[in-house]
Amino acid sequence: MQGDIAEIEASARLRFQQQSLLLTEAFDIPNNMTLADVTPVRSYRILALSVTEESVMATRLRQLGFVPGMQFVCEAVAPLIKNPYLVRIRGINVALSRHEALMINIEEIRL
Amino acid sequence: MNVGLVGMPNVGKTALFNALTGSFQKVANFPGVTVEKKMARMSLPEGKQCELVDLPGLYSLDVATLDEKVARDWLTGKTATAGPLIMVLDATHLQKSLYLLLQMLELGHRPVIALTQMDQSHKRGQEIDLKRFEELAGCRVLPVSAITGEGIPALREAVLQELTKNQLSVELPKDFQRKIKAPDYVVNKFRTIDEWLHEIVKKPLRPDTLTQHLDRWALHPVGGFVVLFTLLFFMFQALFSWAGPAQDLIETGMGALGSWVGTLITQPMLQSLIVDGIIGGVGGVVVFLPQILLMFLFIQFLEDVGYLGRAAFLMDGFMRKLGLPGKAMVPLLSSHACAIPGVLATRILEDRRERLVAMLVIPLTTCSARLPVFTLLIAALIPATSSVGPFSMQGVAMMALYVFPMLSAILVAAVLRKVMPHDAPSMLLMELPPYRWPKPRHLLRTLLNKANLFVSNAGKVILALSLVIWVLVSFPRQSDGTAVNIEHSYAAVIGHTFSPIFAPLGFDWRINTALIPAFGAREVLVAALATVYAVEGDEESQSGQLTTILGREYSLATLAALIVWFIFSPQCISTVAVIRRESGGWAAPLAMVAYTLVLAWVMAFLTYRILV
Repeated sequence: MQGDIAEIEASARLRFQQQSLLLTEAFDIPNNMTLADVTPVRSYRILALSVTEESVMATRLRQLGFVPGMQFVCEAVAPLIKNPYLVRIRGINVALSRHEALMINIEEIRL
Repeated sequence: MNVGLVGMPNVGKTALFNALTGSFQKVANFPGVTVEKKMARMSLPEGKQCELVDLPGLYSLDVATLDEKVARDWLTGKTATAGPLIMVLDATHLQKSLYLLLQMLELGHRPVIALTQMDQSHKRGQEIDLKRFEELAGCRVLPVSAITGEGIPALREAVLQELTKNQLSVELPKDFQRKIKAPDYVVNKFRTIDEWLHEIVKKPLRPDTLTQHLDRWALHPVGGFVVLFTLLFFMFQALFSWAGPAQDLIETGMGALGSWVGTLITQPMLQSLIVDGIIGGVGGVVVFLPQILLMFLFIQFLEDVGYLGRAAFLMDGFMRKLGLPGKAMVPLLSSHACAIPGVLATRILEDRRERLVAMLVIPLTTCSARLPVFTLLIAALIPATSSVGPFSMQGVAMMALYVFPMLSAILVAAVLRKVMPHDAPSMLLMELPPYRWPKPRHLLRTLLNKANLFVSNAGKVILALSLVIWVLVSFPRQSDGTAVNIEHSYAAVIGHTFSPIFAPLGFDWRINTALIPAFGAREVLVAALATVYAVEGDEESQSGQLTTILGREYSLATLAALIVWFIFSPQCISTVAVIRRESGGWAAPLAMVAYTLVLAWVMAFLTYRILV
């Protein structure tokens, strides 16, 4: 009985550790960059979107080509207030507010 | 069987619709929803005809808004009358446009593809293998130009062929709606598009350097605002300096018409009815048609060029602080032509509450129907000769009468957002289309349509109200049949009745009488004042010098208070009706009337008190 509980505890602890590791990987260095951190005329790749799939915003993002794996170029950012952003994705120019930009995880493509 | 015209937003669908159909368009709503359905007869070869429906633009079958949903239902076979399809593809945006086509092919549609923007595509060095495209898609691909009419006959031919063919049954696969939301599905489609492009496009497009260069200015954090305000400033200057000669011409014409009719009809009462009532009233407003058209032209031009989206981009930072997305600028700007298209344009706001707020403040912006009123009052207040540097003082005052109401609209919106429960401002997330030089024909046609609507709709209201005012100022008659002193007319009685309300604002009974029909349509104020003074037999009203009369009769404080009243006072009946329809109830229009009435009275009162 004692052993069982210890085993359950151990496995739970292990699971927790694995999860927090995953979380660290997902949200910490080096990939905690979002579209809100872009600099004009550089290229980026989308890694993940933190929006609910059913939401209107998710739909709009998909329609315009914002899906994981897609590349885009930052065209313009309002410098002081950092809002809005203009990016070029799949041949079209898209304007995003900071609110939306924060939901898109990206990485830079260095040439 | 209706032929549907389908395509993504900003691909030139409306221009093609106009090119394919005659000038008679029917605008109705799709059943059960307030989504505009534009239909028109399209002539086909061999003397045949069909009904063409302009479906709302959509990016994909994965839809976000009500408009897109209507188009999707049409494509997924939920609309009984849905027949063959024409799909509009932009040759300069194939990468974007092919997505919807692939989805339609997946469902079993074989639309006739109309490839637009071919001239731009050639100019930018793109070469498209149309044969290969047809093979891949399994449907006809026809290059068309809405401007030159090139390819239009071939398109009509192809549609006729489709109509005689047996209908393909459209199968909606199970779980399709869910499937198309999966990232893998989207990525796969993008991959297919790239493969297609590889085969179809022999030489790629050179980048659109014009759009890039213009955007460097138009979207510049400082330069962008300079561009925006310069555009607006010149627009208001133009309203005065360009429309002036045309207005003088109409004014002279109306005066001549009046005196000519006056010599024809000698029966005094009939003469007064026609000369003072109809020609005086309606003419007083028709004079402002050049200005109103110029305003419509300007807004339409900005929209066709693609600038309205840029204005939304620029204003997003500022607007967001007040609780609205920058996109709200699009309806706010277009309501300067008329509040009704402005209210309709609020549809681009996905959030219901934001849409409601935008609808409530749109009536504050200076619509073109207020132009006659403001022009008249400014002219009475400020001499035409005074200037600020190279600009006419009247033009500067007019600019202020656009900027101030716009700021009030934004402020009221901010207050409403504070009062109403709300989430964070909804998304900006919009495509900024490339700049396009508007096609003069398309521009002119839209303008003529709008002018026609304005003259026929507003004209009827103005005519009816002018007659009512004439009756009110001309009756009751004395026992010998001659007119009583106007001071004892019905109009004076009504005007005096409202005195307790309006006297604190410095308005006399003549203005009070004119204010009431102005609820029907703003510009009637001018007509009403013209009629009152004409019947009164004022010498100067004969020559159309209402400006001089107002400057002589009223103090600066009264005229200023009247201007302020018109900035805030409730909008015309048509606006109330359209807000009721769009908001789906009486609450919003009634709230609008109530708050603008209170605001107008308080602000006009303050103005009068300060200046008197």
